[in-house]
Amino acid sequence: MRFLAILRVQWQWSRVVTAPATLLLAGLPFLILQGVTPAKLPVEVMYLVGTWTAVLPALAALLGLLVALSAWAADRRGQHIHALSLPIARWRYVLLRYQAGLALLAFPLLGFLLGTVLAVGTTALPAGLQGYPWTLAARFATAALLAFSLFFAILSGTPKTAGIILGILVALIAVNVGVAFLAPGEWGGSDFFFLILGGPGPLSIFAGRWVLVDV
Amino acid sequence: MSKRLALLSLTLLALARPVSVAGQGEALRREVRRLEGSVDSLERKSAVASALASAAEIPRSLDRAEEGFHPVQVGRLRILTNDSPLPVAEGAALAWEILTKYYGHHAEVTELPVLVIMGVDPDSVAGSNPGHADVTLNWDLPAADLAWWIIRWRVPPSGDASLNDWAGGGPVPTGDRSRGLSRAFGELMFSPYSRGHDCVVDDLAACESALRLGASDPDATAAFPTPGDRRLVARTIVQNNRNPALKFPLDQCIEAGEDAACVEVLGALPPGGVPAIAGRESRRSLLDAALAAGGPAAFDRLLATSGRPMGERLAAAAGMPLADLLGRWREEMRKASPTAGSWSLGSGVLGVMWALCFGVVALLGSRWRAD
Repeated sequence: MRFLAILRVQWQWSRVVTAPATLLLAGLPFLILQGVTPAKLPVEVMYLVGTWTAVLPALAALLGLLVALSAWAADRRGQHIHALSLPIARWRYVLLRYQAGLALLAFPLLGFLLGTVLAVGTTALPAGLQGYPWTLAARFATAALLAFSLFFAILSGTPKTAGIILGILVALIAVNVGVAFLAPGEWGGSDFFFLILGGPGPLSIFAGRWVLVDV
Repeated sequence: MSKRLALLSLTLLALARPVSVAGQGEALRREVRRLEGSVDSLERKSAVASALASAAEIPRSLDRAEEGFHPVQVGRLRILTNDSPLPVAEGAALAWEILTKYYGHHAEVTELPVLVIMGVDPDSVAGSNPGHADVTLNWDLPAADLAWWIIRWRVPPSGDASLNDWAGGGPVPTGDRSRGLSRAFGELMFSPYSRGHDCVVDDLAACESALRLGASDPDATAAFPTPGDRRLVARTIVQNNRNPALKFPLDQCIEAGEDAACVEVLGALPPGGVPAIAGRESRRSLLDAALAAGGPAAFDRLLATSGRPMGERLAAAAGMPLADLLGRWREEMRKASPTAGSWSLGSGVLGVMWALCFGVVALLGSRWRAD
């Protein structure tokens, strides 16, 4: 019951984001595959599709950020008076906000999945290429979820918490740059980015090939 | 009178122009053949020079032995190395095993120059540039890595100019064949020419054109069957075209899109002037596939068929018909190619785990307390 109340409030604040995002993401795969015909060479198709490789992770991150911002918008506007008036622990209230944010995030993600499946299903591809609608949609959903959680955590905390998170990031950059300066060649400047974007790094989901069509 | 002469000259030039494209093409072909003959001749002389140089190296090894270097010999590999923990003997044994597996009998009959390896303390810069070693390595290098260093420095020369020319360099064993196969797949699948794409998708015969496996003087229009292919060839060669006779057909082909002009351009190009459909990676990966399939005597069979079309040579090396070799190679390429679908479930689970971690961080905050 309490969850539904919070969801309703959160929907009022986030519908300006989630409703257009759902429509935009449902139509995006058709835009990606625009101009793709079986007569084209794979290199031409990959050129068309490949231009979206950098755009899609950015869109997932932006979607996560906007939904996280809208999750806390009502509380920030009301200076947390509503939250303080409720007879529940803070962590439970935050959990409800988080769950409501996830529920609202699901609409654009489902829109994207539907769009990718329909776009690939209705587009004839050159021989040798095939569509990966489920893979791309799963990847986009995971990235948006990650971005939402990260920004939700930063925005939910006190300025102190946000400062700690940013401080850790700055410290990592400083250590990386410092070590690269003191021992060039031993520890490259790109290692920090490898740390967060490569292997098991927290943002590794954003790296790699984000393509709807591939061999 | 002079006016008449000028008119006559202009008329003759106009008549001669269409012929000159084909005529110059033939002249260029002859020139290419002549130069290929010279290259073969120089290659033979180079082989003799290498043998003489190798013979001259032997006293050098004795000199070095007196200077604190000791010899290590495994098969035809002759190495001089200083006293250090560097596992030279093990590395040389591994290198020789790889070389004999790849070159077969050819490795055992080829004289290789002495290789001087100096092992140095990895924690010190002293002696890192002694000047008289062929290669200086940290002495904590594992034997497997050292083996590849040795191979890099001492590859038996094939002495086969046409093979080297086709493969874009002398044949060299590689540690990871799948990487080469993956690159070859990308090269062909995303080739701007239709034959490259056809080769990996459905038509094995297209591989013969794409990889130049047929006659040395192939029909260029068969290699570039579509007007789009031919126009791309014209666009590719127009930058470096020095042949004034090709200027007009090139302009007609590129600007006006006249396919007849494109065909004329293709017909006038010497064999060496036709752009490559498949690059070095594709050819080398096919060569490696043939040698891997053919067993220990594969390289000898490859050299024994020198002068024949490359397709025949590779089939002989592999010990199977060319179509079978190409089919097997294509399957290997497909398996080795990375795809977007290779994004694993593990990556997704990892992403969700990180998201949950950030979610837990949000729960642990203390901006206000209600209890």
